[in-house]
Amino acid sequence: MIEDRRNLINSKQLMVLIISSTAGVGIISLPYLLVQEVGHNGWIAILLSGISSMIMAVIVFKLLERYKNKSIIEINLILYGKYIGMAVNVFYLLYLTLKLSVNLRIATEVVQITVLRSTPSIVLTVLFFLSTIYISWYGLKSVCRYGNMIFLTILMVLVLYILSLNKVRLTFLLPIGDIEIQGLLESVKIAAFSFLGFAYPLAVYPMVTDKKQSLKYTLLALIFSTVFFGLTIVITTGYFGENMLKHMLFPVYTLALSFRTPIIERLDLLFLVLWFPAMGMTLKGYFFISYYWINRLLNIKRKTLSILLFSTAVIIISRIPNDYNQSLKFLGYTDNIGVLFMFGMIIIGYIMSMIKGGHSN
Amino acid sequence: MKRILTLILMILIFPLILTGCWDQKIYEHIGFILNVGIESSKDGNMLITFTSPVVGEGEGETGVELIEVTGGILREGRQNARNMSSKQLESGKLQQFLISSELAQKRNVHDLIEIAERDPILPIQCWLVIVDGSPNELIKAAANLKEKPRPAIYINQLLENSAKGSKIPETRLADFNIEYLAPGLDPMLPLIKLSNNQVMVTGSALFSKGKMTGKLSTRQSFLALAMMGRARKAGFSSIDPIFPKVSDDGKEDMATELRAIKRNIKIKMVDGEPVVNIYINFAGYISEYGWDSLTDQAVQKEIESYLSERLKKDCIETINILQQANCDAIGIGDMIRAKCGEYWKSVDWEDAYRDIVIDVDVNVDIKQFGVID
Repeated sequence: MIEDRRNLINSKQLMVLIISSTAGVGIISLPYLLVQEVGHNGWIAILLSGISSMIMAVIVFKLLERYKNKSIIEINLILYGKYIGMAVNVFYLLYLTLKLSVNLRIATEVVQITVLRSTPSIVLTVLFFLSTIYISWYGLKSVCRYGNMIFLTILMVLVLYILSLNKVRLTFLLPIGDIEIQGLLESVKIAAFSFLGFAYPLAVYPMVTDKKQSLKYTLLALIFSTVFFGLTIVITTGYFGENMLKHMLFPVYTLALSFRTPIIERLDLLFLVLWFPAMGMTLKGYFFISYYWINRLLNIKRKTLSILLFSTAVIIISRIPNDYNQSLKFLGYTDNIGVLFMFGMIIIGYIMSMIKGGHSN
Repeated sequence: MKRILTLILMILIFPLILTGCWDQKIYEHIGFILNVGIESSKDGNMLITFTSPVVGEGEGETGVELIEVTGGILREGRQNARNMSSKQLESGKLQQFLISSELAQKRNVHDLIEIAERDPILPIQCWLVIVDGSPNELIKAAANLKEKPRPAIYINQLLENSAKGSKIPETRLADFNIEYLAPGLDPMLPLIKLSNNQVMVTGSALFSKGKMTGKLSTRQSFLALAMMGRARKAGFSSIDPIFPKVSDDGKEDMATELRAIKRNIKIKMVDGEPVVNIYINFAGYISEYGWDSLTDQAVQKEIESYLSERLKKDCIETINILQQANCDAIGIGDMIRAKCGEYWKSVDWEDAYRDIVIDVDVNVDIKQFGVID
């Protein structure tokens, strides 16, 4: 199948896609979720999850290289046959759609809780989603180009971290390693939800022009995410302490709230201005892949109709949770099933491909 | 044609959904709350005092609207205040929470100000201040000082300058909650009072389990901050009896500007108990003394040794006050938790803190003595 030129990206753009899709929403509540399980040792969970995701990325590329120029959709059909393969693909699609919908709702709730309290949530959802639909319409290349904005947001967050360094207590991060194994495993699982970037090549591999470089840039993206998430956990834990962190739904935002700067009295508002587009980036990645897969699976030619129908479905699903709390729970359930399935299917797929020994050109 | 129709449709739809009028707040309709004073009221509730600047012709730079209400919780107080104010009172520009020492001794301040952490509109970097006396009286007196800026601005400048001089801790609302919740760490808040119709900083209020349990003078606050490692940039004017005496002109005291440039805390376990040693190195310059003799190295050494001894004695006295108030503002418990995990788990730190041995070593280096000898 010949790809639309607007969807063709290079490996560096793949790296941007992975970073921008994971950092946006992932960072909002990650310190809060990890501290509940492992207290001040959240960075260990990040490190372990980061390493696991890199191992998974290597397996993903081993699998992809066996079936040149094919995405996981076609590979599943080859590996499992028409019916089971289609069922696996539908499950992937359902997972992505659910994840996209819940992330959309979470992003909306964050905007509503922090700034626009009186604006109806549905209005925020639609407005938030418009840019996602618009950019995705122009193809993966546009999504990746827009994704470059994440570096501006990350730069701002890093400045915030540097400013907060003089109030970071190293004692809040000690003693290292007094964790129960069960808590550690749970926290690694939670952190793994933020490292699903390794799975992006499964979907976009046929669209990458310089495939030889793509593993290298995928690993670079995962290393970058590991360092960024790790730094976020270290700074927020060292600044607030684990007991305070346990109460904070959006610790990085509260960190921005805690600063007084000359001229800019409310640094938090500047933070939000830069953070909202970052949250949108996560949605754009998921949205593009989901609707692209739908088109491929159902062989839809009328792009306008499919994008409109799919967007409406996502908005409707995003309205199912009642509030932020329920959205987080919803995301937890989705990820619990989805991540296990994704990890499992990649490993099984790789083993199957070795057994079948098939190469396809 | 299709494109033009789509464009017209978008032009018609977008203005309707992008107006964003649900959350708009018109500046002219808002009353910005700058101070909140909280104390016990006679009816068993809280007396809450709000100030909001009055902006208008002839009001100048000092006009404030002062509203007194009672309420069981802070939001109830604001609701009642909104019933009395011509403007929509909002707290996004709040500068200080002023809490009476009497209420701070009775109620857990962490619970009292919970609203500020919950509501993102409230600035958590505002000052949290304890008033020795009535915040209501203090705000009223400050509002009547026509030669001074509005109460919130005046108190803010006073607090910021005092914090720069290490006379008070710079504990903002966010810091208070962090220190309250951290095991082995307790907060210290600025303490002010109304004196001769002027607002005056008097030192620090000490907290244990969220309630005020003691206080320190400005000198003791400086020493506590030095032991906490938070007086590195500040120059504190230490007034001490003059030594050695240079003349019989009746001058009793000398002044030294001090900076705690280095602080080191060592904890070792002796017979299963922690022994804490705090080392502080002060750099200073003599700002007031007496004519002649400071170029003599021997005299300088004598002054350094004398000041080291005096400051050591005062540090130990400060630690005693902290231990009696059960306020671990230095964070010794936090360090023990981090480094001596087994001991930490075996004791109740609240009880153990009062009895642990804390020793202090002080060294003073006189770096300058001005441009006369």
